[in-house]
Amino acid sequence: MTAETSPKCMLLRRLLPCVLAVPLSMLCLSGALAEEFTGSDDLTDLSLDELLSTEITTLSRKSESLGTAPAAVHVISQSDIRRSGARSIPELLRLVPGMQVAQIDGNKWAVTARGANGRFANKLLVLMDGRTLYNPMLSGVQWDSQDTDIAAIERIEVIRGPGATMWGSNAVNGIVNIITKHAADTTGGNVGVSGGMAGYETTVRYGAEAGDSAFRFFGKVFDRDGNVSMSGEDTDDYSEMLRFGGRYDWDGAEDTNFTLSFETYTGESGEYRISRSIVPPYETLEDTYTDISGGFLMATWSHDFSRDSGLKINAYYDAHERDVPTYTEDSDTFDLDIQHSFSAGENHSLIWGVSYRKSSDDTTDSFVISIVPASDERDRISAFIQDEVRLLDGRARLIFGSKFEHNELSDDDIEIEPSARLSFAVTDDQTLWASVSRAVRLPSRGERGGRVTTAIVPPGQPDFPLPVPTVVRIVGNPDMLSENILASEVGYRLRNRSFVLDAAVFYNQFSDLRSLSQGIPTCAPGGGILQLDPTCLFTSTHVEQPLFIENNDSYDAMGAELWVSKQVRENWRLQGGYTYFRTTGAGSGSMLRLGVVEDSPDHQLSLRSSIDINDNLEFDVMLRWIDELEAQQVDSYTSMDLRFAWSPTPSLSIAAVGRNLLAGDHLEFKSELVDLAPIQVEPEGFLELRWSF
Amino acid sequence: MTIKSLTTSFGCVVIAALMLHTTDAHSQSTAAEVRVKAAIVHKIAKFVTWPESRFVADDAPLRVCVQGDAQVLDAFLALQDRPIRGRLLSVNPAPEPSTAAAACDVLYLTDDEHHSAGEWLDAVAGHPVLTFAEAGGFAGDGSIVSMAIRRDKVRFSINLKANENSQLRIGAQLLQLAAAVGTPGHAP
Repeated sequence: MTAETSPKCMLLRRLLPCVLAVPLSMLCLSGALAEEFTGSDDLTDLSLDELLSTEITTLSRKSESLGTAPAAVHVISQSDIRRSGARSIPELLRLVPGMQVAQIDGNKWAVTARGANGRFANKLLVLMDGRTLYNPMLSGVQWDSQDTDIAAIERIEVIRGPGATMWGSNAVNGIVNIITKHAADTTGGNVGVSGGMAGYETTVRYGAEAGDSAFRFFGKVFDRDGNVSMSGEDTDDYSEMLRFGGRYDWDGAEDTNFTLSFETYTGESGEYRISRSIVPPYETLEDTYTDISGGFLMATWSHDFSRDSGLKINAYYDAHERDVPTYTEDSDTFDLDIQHSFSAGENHSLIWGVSYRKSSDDTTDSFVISIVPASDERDRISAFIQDEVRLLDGRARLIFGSKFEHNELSDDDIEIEPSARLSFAVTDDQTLWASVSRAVRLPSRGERGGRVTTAIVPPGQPDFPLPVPTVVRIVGNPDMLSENILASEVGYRLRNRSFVLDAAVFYNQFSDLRSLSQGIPTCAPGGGILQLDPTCLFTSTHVEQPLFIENNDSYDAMGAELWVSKQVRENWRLQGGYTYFRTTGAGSGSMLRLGVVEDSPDHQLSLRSSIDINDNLEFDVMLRWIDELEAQQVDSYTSMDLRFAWSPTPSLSIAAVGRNLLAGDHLEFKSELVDLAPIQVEPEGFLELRWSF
Repeated sequence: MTIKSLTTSFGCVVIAALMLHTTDAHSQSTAAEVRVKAAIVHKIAKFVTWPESRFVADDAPLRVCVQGDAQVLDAFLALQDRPIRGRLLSVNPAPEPSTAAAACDVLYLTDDEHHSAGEWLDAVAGHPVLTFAEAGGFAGDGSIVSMAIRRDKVRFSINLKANENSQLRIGAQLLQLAAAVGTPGHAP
């Protein structure tokens, strides 16, 4: 620990005993999100989207001007979703300032905030209606299987920075919460059809309401074409998916609500894979595909005892299966989550909760990838408590608390993830906030027991002059520990009638980060040590070069995020964003220094214009400039999305959408597992027709 | 820290939390609710186009008539003189039903035992008057826009049938934000 960091640690140390000893309180950050809009006394400053998401009881409890959320929060509204023309969740996340989103191929994405991006970006936790989309097998979210009826998403709340105090491990660099619409908000029929240069998509939904109950069902099918290789040839990184789902809502008397939802899906993700073997030609490129299927069933029951107190119980079962040519995975998750919020006196709002999760999986292996043990079953038990304290007559608020988590993926007995956040309303429309928090990223099953072949070096290479091929493998570590972050953030927000400015800077200290160390090469089969007995080469088919996973890296990450939104005219809104990110002090075994690895751009710029030409015409443009990825050797690029929508009648809209324009065919990101060949993303255009009845 | 001590401390939290429970029910219609609804009426009106013949002058105000108690009228007075498409809002208590069609461009009706909202709606039917009422209230679904509270948030629905003869043009963007768009007597 350097001298520079000690004050933060002191604060943390002072905070910890309080959190542990006293059952204190908080208003959860998600509550804070709903409230974010009430910073101004004048409700007419808010947009219709914001008014529709304002919680009335929250408003009446704190109707005086109150500091806004003490975190880097951004909400994607329903209008944002519609106007983006996005057909997938990662595309929507491009709208959020500070998010790092890159497309790897036609169905794979690298999505995170605040650094270390990758196909298995493991420090961003993503939830849909409270259900985790994070896959503990190889870490991260597998975006090719995570989708829903995009038009039935109510909003997406994104918090950059740790959210582990409420949401637990892996909410290290950010948390994304996708919230779908209440069934009563999707009554009637709705058909969306889109098609163009790169495939088609159809979504059909029907819902109805009777008395206190409402339901909807939807079906969605799409088939998207692949892109092109680095040499410009068509590749088979297509994506096809059939999804069916539904939701039932019951709003009973006395503030009791019940929701039941489910989805089931099946599909294929094509990929341009690097196929490896110990016989010539060792590495070949081939078009293969992954079979994907899965589904979930979720029930939520909530009851408000009073304006200030409520109980929410959420349970779900989620199953998924992936059949990659080199590996198959079959996972099941059961999760039970109980949260209770209440007020203590005038100035304290508390929330606490307990949760239990049981995960089990079953894998099969191949020469390229294997996981030991092949099957596993584990429990996670966690609890959290958080208090929001209203200070200075509501001008300031302090939110603090901690999560306590026991997980069999981590050797630590209990993970403690505390945070303290403070905001101060400088004036009615300006807020300053600061926070200090700790979070952990759990090792994945793959990191603990995986063996992944990342390269085959053919015999007789100048710098590797052996008579047999060398197989380079990453070897998991059963004793791997959690990665740690101590994050400090400061932010400023200005919000008035026609202008919003949101700025945040952060300094993250990571420790016990995953690293790789080069092991001793051995002959295989046989296992003789090459350096001691080179004659073992005569009886071997290849040499094994292991790279052992350890927890030996640490670095500091820092950055700044700026977002401005200006209502230029009543029918014209401009938004601009800038993100700066850098790391210092990565060790020699650092994943950041090992060629094709997790990586994030130093600079990102975005500009978005939304115009209502008249009552029936909408025109949207989004421009992005993404800096180069140095470690990945990916060039910077500028790209543009366009949408022009016309509603000839109230129940019909027709939109022309262009995506990834200006940049031509361009590389955005390489899969860090080095299992896929790099793909260039192509520009595309499509027409979308939406009809409601 | 062991799991056992964790369990114990959370046991304490449960007890503390349950003791702190208050049991007051949500009040029926709070000031906050009316403020949010008034602000929503303002936003919705921005998406609606009235026939030019409706206004005597280019700068004639857009007249918002409010039928409700003092709390409701208070909330709407916050909209006084707000601009909408070059016109300023003028907020007034609703007149008698017989003159409402001529005196109001926007008519906001709350449930009240002394008045029949249906009477107002009948009186302004066929005129360019944008009507608002509580969903499931006396006005039923007879108003162009109906509002309801669901899970602590305001939701609005648009009844295109009720708007058929009003000569009002409702922007498509607004319909996208409505919880439901439909016709009465038929689950939208």
